[in-house]
Amino acid sequence: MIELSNVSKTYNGKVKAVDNVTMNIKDGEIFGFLGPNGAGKTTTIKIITGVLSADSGSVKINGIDIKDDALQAKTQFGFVPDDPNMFLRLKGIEYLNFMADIYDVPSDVRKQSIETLGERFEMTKALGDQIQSYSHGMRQKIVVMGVLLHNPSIWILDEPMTGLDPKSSFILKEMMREHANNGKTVFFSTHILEVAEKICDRVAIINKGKILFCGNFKEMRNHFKSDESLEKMFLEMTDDE
Amino acid sequence: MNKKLFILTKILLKNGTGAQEKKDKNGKKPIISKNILMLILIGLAFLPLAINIVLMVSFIYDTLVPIGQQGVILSLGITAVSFIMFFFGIFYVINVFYFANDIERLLPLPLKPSQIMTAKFFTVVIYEYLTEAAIMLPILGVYGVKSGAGIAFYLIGLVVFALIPIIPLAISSIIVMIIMRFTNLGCNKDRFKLIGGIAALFIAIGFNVVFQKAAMQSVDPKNLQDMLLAGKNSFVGLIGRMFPGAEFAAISLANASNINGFINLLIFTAIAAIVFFLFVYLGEMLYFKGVVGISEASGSRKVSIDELKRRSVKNSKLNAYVGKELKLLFRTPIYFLNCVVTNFLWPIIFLVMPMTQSSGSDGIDDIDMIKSLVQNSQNAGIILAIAFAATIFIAGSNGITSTSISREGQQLYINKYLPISYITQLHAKVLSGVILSTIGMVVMLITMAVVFKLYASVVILSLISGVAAVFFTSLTGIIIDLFNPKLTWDNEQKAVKQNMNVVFNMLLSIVLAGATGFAAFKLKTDLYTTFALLVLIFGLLDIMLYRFLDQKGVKLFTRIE
Repeated sequence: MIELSNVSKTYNGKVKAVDNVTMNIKDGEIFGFLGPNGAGKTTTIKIITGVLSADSGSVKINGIDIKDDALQAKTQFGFVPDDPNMFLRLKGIEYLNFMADIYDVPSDVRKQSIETLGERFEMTKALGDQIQSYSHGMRQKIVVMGVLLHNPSIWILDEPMTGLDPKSSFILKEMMREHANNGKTVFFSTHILEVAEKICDRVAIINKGKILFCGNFKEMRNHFKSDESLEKMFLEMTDDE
Repeated sequence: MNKKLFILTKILLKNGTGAQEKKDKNGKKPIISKNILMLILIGLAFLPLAINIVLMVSFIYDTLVPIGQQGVILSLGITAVSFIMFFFGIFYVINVFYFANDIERLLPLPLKPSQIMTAKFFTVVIYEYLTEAAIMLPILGVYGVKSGAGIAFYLIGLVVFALIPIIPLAISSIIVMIIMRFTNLGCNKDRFKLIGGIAALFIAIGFNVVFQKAAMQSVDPKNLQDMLLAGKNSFVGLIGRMFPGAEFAAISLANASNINGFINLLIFTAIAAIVFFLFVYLGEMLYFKGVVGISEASGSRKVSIDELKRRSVKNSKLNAYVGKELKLLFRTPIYFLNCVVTNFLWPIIFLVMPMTQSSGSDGIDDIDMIKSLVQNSQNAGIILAIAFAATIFIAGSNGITSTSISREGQQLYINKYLPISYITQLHAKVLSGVILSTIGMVVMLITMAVVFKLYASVVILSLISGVAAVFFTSLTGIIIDLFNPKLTWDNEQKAVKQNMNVVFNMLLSIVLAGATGFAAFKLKTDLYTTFALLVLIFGLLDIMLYRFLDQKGVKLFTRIE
């Protein structure tokens, strides 16, 4: 469970990147976080994951405050950032072991997870090579594998589908569904509306740092009193002028 | 074509400094930018050094006047600068020509290899002017004033100043291009880049020896005496012969008042032009072959499940993080060359210096002299202090901890969401510096022990006290980097090569190394007292720095966003 209450963040003293955001992402749901470019999606995610600190408001992850007990809160989630270009000069297997060490994963558990995840994402053969030799999609996959090793109860994914081939994207969506069905939480941002419409239980739409809507698609249709497509409603909502 | 060249040079220079004006909280540009403040600070830091150089140059000038050889300071300065540029040029050229990430963006543009190269060459030349100014301006100034030189001297001085970097840099570029042409093979580019870089370094050292030997052997001792007695700056050319072209630059300056000066200037200019065009010509042939595909990496895609499992063993967080730091330092060619190799370069320089200084058969004289000094047990305390000072300098100048935050760059945020406490991360960064610097120290001490036959007690005490020195500079390095990390860079070179934090830590270590040496000469304490004093003083400093890092350092790290 992720709870944000009255979270605000200002850049350079005037640009309000996140403006009084309150959201509750419940256990057992896939929650989509939608918004146009520069709406404040990544900033919000950075605040949730402890990369940035909010000017005001609080973030609780499984009831643990990210500011007060940062280390404990950080072990609750696995985070896939939007840029998979990290640790490029480590070999795949070295990166996975590094992540496993940081998340305190015991030897036997990690051996098992590396094997199953490697097979599921068809990455086993590439694990002996440096990540810089991977394609964009493979880099995305290795990052996803790295955060799933410690079997976190909360997944936070920033634009996870970008660059994935259809099969990997399908597998990831499948895994997200399984995870939520097990009573755990998936929070991800995207601007691919079709994906959101297909797999999300609930969505929030953010623009200019403000949450414009938060709920399921049925509620959204009621809200707009129309049967329009998500795309139309989204464009209408985020249309500035 | 020339317009393109100009535009490209300008872009590379702008891009190269990475100097982005940081806006303050209200989004306004600060009135005096941080960069200017930095420059002033550096200027102040170098001021004592500059004054010393001026004093030293004028002292040498005065001693040489009676024998009519005062022009030698010109050729000494020019050869010294040429050598420095040649040597560091190898690093610069490898970094800028081959390792910089902008190459990938330049290759698809409709530019000739020679245009890219020449533009990059000029950016290096412009950076080198700064180094050159530190040595040549005092020399030209002192010589000009003391000899009451006319306007012609200063005009020639200007031209010579502008041309000096061309020859050494073109030579180092040619060496690097030839090596890179043949090492850009196979699939592991990183490894080949490293081999190429190290090979170039050794060739540079080799050239050094060859140039100097050749210059020395070109005259027999009998002539030498006659020349010395003849006066009239007859030595100017001889000293200048140690580096190609330097002879003519020096003679032209020494004879600025007559036609000889002008003729030699023309010869110097012609040599610079020939070497430069040779560089352009070879570059047109070699550069693309060496650089195309240099950033590509391919894997073997072969690894068995069993092997994966064997490699998957649990480690502590600290160990895992230190391992990550060291792997990245060793595998990133630029980090390896600038942080790791320089760390081990000093023993080589210690060895090569005495070998090149002395000529021919009587070449062991210098080492023998040092040996006899070293083996006098009365000097043991001072020797220990010198070894300690050398350790401070080596550990302080390798830039491992003073770029440890900067090297994270735009990826710093990763450290913020991983569940590993900031203090553990900082400890791991300090530790990776301590490990490499300690190895560097051990290599240096062993080399010195073998070459100069040091007493075992001195070596052992140096090793023990040296650890305090290593911790000291590693801690100051990371603290300096925490205050003002350079995180906005688009290629790794900018994180370590164009990072003032390295310079600051190096200056700090030079000051402390100097102070240690000075105190040892003044106090003349014996071996064990010196050891006790060093361990006590630096041990206390280490504890203070460590506590500072634990408290303030974590706060600084938290604040970096």
